[in-house]
Amino acid sequence: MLIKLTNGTIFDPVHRLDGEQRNIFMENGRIIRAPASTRKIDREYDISGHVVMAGGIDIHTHIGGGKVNIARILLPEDHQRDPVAPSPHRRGGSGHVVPSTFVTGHRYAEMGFTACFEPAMLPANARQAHMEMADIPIVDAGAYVLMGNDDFLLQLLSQGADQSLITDYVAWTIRATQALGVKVVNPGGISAFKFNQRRLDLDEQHAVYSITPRSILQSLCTAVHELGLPHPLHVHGCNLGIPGNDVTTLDTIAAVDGLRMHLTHVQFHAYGKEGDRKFSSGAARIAERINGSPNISLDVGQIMFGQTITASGDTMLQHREAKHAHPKKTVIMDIECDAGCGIVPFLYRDKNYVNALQWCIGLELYLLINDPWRIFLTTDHPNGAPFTSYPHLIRLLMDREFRLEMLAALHPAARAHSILSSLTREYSLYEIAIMTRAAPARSLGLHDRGHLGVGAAADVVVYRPRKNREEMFSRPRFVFKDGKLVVQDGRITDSPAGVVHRVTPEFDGSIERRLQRYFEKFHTVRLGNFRLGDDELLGYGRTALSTHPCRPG
Amino acid sequence: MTQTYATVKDVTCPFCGLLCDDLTVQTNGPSAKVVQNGCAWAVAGFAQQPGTASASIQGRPCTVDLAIQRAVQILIGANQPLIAGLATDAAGCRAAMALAEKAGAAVDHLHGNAISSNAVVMQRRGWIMTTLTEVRNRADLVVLFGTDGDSVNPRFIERCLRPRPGMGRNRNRPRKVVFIGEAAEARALKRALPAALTITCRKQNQLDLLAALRALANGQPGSLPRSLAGKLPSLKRLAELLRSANYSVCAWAPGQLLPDQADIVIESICGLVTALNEHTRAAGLALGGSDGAVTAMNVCAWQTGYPLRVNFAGGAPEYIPSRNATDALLQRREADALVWISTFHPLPPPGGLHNIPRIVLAPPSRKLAGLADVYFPVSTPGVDAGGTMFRLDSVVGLPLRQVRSTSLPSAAEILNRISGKI
Repeated sequence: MLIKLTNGTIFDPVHRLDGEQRNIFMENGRIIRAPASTRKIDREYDISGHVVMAGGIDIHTHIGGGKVNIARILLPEDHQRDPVAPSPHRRGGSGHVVPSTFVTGHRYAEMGFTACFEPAMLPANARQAHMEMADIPIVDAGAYVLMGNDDFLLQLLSQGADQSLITDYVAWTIRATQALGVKVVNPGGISAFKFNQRRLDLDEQHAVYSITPRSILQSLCTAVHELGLPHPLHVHGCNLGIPGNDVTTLDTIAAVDGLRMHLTHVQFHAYGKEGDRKFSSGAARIAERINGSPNISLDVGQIMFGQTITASGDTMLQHREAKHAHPKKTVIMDIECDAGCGIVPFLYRDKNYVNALQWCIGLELYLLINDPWRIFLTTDHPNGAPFTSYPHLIRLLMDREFRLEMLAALHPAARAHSILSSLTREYSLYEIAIMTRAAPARSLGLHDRGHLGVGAAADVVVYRPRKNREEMFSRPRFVFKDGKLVVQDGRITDSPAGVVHRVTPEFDGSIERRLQRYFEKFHTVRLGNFRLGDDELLGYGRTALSTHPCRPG
Repeated sequence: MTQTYATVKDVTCPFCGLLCDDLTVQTNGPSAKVVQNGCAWAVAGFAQQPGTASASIQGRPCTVDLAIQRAVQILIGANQPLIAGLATDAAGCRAAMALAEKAGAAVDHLHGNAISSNAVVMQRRGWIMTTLTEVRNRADLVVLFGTDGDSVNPRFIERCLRPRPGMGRNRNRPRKVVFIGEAAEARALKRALPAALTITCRKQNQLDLLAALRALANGQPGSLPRSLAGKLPSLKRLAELLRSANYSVCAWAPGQLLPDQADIVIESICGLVTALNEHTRAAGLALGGSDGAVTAMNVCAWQTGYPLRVNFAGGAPEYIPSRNATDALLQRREADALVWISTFHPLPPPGGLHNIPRIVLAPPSRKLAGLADVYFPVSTPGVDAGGTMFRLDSVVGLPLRQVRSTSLPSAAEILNRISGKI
């Protein structure tokens, strides 16, 4: 089917199109050149005056895997307020803070997002993560595999193993779990918590393995670099949520010595300890450092006021947070000598000083970091807020007047401790297209997504221009996924399956002999059964695996 | 698919929640035999004869097409279908959920009571839990509450308790195992493993003992009713062991607790674990999870937001666990059609059905064919067909393999064909 979108106003930063009027043609799921005038157009959409962007890409959203499912089970009271009945083209389920799988895919698509990436897939739980994601319709998916707290790696590091061995192990893990990238969460800290350590600073020693988070971070960062993965090491650093962790974040940036690194949900890692309440914004210092560090990218993890639930691999700090749970219940799990997870429901309140300042810190980061190619739009769904709050967040970034109005309602001391009211920056549509499309695609190595050039996947979103950007981004006029119309005026019109994005780095197979011994001695699963094969993954209902090239350095 | 004699290693056993994946199976066309690492359940499970039953309607053999037509008629005519048993793999569960949504059915599992006892505790207060590889390598103390372990998961002791801990401070130190429960279970455990401490009590006294133990572990004087006062010294000793352990694990099997107090016992154990974590490390472990219980719970949770006992009668899934339980729906005569899925064993649907139509999917069984209004012989996942299931700790998914050749369709295939016509 040959589709023509006529006279749209195009925002495609990859091709430096900043609001130019163009036609777009799609056929067989791809964007194509303007066909010969003799060819019959099967379907034409006149979109004069409408804004056109590539499909949105969420680089960090907890959508699949054990901790997400625990989060779902934990809050029936939240689901009950948001039941979703099935209708033609869509399965039912429930929504709000951690929607069920079908609802997740449909709500992302309804906002014009067409690809979502699970940032914390545990190797031991990879099957479940992929199977859950296969039940998320429409959007493409992929996952970063969690490393840096697994006893195998920590044993290797404590024995002073060669970096080449570590790098092989990282590659093996990526292949075994069908991952697109690698994430580290509280390096060494999840493991240390299993040995009853309650804090682990960047240069503090793990009580059993006698290594530091710094060495784990450096080793994993080097491995990712050597393998030439498109996406840099995705880092959830030490001391999440602890006042004074702005210094840890600065030290973490320095620790990787110029290697590429992605810092995730930096808002939670940008807390100073100044002032009467010993809680202040570290955003300005961090932004300044990141502006001067072209090797660093970040996502923010903006919080929004209201009920949500925090789901993290960081058992050490989630256990500390349990006292703030709302409602009062927390799940903590130690997992398979591999990692862990902690799930704490949370209510962010605008009249609470700390929460109000967290909100300000997130926005300060967005507004102080200059390069939209290195900062991505996230709420760390669902940890800062559910992903459905993105249109509201976009309005906060694009509309200063609105931002000040929201700010005025906050806890007065938080307002006084934030420079937010003095920040005049307003994001342009072009910058939004960078941070929600072009930049995440580039960071993840998705060459055919995130732009509208000839040959790109036909993931295309058409928005009605509205002064109220929240309304505009909540309800696109049309959303196409791989050339299929999936949303029209907020109504799901089709529910195709997306693809899985992954990388397949090469490694020296001798690592398997070592792993074989380790598995036989310690594990309760056989090595061969640990690996998730291509056929198995496709059997979950995926249309295809999209493999992205690695460029070993 | 294997037509001739072959030996297959690292086969996953689907017959209990442990999903041991180190079995060696000899296959020979339509038969399979476990030759290594099989417990009694595995040996019997893989040896079940595949049989050659055909689909049937009211006991009379018919084509699968005809049986599907009849099943569709029944489900379309029903106001409140119930999909239960649900003993199958992930693909079977996904297909069952899709059918439930289309047919407006309620969904529960064979072990719905056990799953629900755990789930309500998690939903009420949360918990701190662990997984099998952690238990095996990290735990220096394991307390079995009301279970000897092996009677619910026959190789639990062999695989997780008997080896010495492999990692960290507890490496190669002997592991202490403590048992609290019925004398008969204590004797069963004794045959498998020497316990460091055994505290016998009747099931109905478990809550009293737990209350005293929690107080003692918190450094308070524990008290017990006079009839149990003799247990106090042992409980004091256990409290000491828990406080001084590096990593203790408290295990229970929800299906072995008294049904009317299971959730309260579990809640009490979880409360103890939470308190211990103020100073040292401790975690819980729920045993059981057999017949695909954990698989069904997870699939239902990711597709609806709720851990089973959902009902699609009103369109959107509604979660009222007490109302949507198999027994409740049948006893109140609310369910007016039953889809019974039991792919690991030919278990009959629950008795006492007041003549509601029964659609049964199970391995070939003449007896079941005779009991069912519509009967579909289906493959057993992990024996006749590949698939995926989740282990009792609800973290690890394992691949199932086909180790013998049959022409039986899978439950998923049949369920999807029925869904396609509603």
